[in-house]
Amino acid sequence: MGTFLIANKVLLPEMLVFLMSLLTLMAGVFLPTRMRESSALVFAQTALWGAIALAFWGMLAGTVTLFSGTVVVDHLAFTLKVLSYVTASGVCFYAHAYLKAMKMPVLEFYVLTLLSVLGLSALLSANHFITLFVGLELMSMPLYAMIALRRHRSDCLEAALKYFVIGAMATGILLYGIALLYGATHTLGFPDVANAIPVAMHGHHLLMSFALVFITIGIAFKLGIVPCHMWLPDVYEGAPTIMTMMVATLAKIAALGMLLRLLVSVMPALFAEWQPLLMVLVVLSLFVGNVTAVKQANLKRLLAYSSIAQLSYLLLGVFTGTTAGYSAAMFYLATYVLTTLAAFALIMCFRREDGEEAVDIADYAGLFQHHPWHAVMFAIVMFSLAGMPPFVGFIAKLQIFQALLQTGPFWLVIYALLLTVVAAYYYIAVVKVMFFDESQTPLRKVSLGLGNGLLTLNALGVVMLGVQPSGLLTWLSL
Amino acid sequence: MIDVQTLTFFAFSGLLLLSAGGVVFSRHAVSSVMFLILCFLCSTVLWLMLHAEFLGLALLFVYVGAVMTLFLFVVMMLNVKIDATKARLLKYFPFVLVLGGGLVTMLWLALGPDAFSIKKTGVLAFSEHYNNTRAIGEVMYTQFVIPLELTAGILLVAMVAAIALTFRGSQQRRVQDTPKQLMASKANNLRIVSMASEHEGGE
Repeated sequence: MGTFLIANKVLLPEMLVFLMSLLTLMAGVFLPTRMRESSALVFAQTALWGAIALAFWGMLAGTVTLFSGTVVVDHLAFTLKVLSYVTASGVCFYAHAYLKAMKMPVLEFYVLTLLSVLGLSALLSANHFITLFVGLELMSMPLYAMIALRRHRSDCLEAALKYFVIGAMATGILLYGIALLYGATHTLGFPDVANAIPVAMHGHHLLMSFALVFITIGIAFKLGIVPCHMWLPDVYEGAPTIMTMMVATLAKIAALGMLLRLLVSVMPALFAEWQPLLMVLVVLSLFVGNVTAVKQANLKRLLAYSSIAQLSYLLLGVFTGTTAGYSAAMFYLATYVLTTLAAFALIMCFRREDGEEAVDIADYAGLFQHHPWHAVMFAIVMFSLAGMPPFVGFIAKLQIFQALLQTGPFWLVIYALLLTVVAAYYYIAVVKVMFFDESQTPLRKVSLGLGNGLLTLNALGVVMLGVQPSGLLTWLSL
Repeated sequence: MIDVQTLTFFAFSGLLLLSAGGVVFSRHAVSSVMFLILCFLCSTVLWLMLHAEFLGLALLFVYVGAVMTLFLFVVMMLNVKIDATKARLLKYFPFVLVLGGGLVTMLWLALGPDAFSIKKTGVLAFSEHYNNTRAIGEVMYTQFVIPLELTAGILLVAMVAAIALTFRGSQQRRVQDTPKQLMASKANNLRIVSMASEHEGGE
């Protein structure tokens, strides 16, 4: 009975999210039409903020392993879960007015978002490959469907289909890796596999390397790291911007969670194998991401390529193999998510004359003259992504480089720094267009409803955390 | 000398592979579905050989009996022409062969058949009181209850998403479409027909 109570306390956030998603679904059936959409938002926010409170309460019990070791709630799971609840809450606030304007089904959006968050938090709490896999599926399925919710647009359908097919393939690759690992260790629970790997190393070294490669590539697909990045720009461009925001934040939290869980907790014995693997991925992604982004004329594509580069800094943190590196990667993820939320929310604010979303960089020429505050917020976001002080992106990159300098190799630090300079060029080029170019036709600004206030907070948060990062840094350190 | 078990195993796994190929390469969507059913039948036999009666029968009853029937119905209703896609499939087939073949060869060279420490065993033996269904139920509702609930969540997602993506509002309701009414114009709604004029009170 005692175990049962602890089980309830620790898993209360997930239970609340599941329950509220069902309630939201029922609200669509039983509430009068005029109340449906706003009550769905209220339900979603209640679920997410309630889950945050419950997660903090549950964490007082310390690390807990449940259900014969299929689920674990530890510091990694807890922090990433809270981060994903906060992110999802932000997405829901930004979404409300946008969904109506884009004629997307509002209620289903919230239901699917909550279910996706449920899958994500199960994945983060997984202590067994089965839980991990089912959580991953529950997280990804709603994302595929939600991209297609703007179903009268062929580019949205194309993006949804691409994301679905690539996602299915990545899942297949990951699953194949898990199967090979099972073949070598004859067990699926994370602690058991971690214990079995050093023993199995003697007989099945090659088999283990194969499993490692497949698992890492599977995660690389989810992260969108070179050479598994081909889907990313098309999906970012084609998806409705609110969904791009979600794919760029929630899916990345899942990928880092899996990476830390699988490589660091399950396969520390294979460190000598996965470190070079990550190095190849990082070196390729830094180059391809940053250099390709320079030539982009579409802002969403630019952010897609920039995300490839940004996430490779995150991989650099994991690459170091030290606790400082992992903590730096966690901090980097949190700041990246915060900045990305603001970036896509800003894109959602503007429409062209014909009512289409303004996605070309050229559309934003002379934005400062008409909408000075939004132009300033854009500048904050871009400078932060470029890693300039005093914004939070600078602190994040600083942490990564500090961790990397401790372990080396030194040439990798130089290489990453050089490509950061390239990155600064294209981020600042966007700011230059907004502040100094002559505007052709002024953009129409649309209200994000409650999202307007949040956007200001979000952009100020990018500055404030850059000035005062210590609280978040301590909280996220592993 | 080949015993019956080995013979059955190779016969049905061979048939499984052939029918899986049939699913991909058959000319007609309906025959693809038929091949898929054959696939499931073969896997049922393989599962039964492993004493996994519950899984085997569930596959037979649920998939072959219910799901595939619905699937066949949908495929017949849609009447998909897949000849065009077939041509593209054939165009990429060499790449698939090279990549897939390369991967399999690499796996074979690196791992070999003894990597998984597979030993040829006879038919698995269980005690008289062993109950496959009970064994599955016991782990499913204790250790794996969380993944089970999450799977239920996946099914819910599938349902919500399918409805959200296909439901286009009620078609039967008699309601006024105000924008449509306001857009009404003479050009669209009024047809002027020229005809010979009628004579009034002719005869």
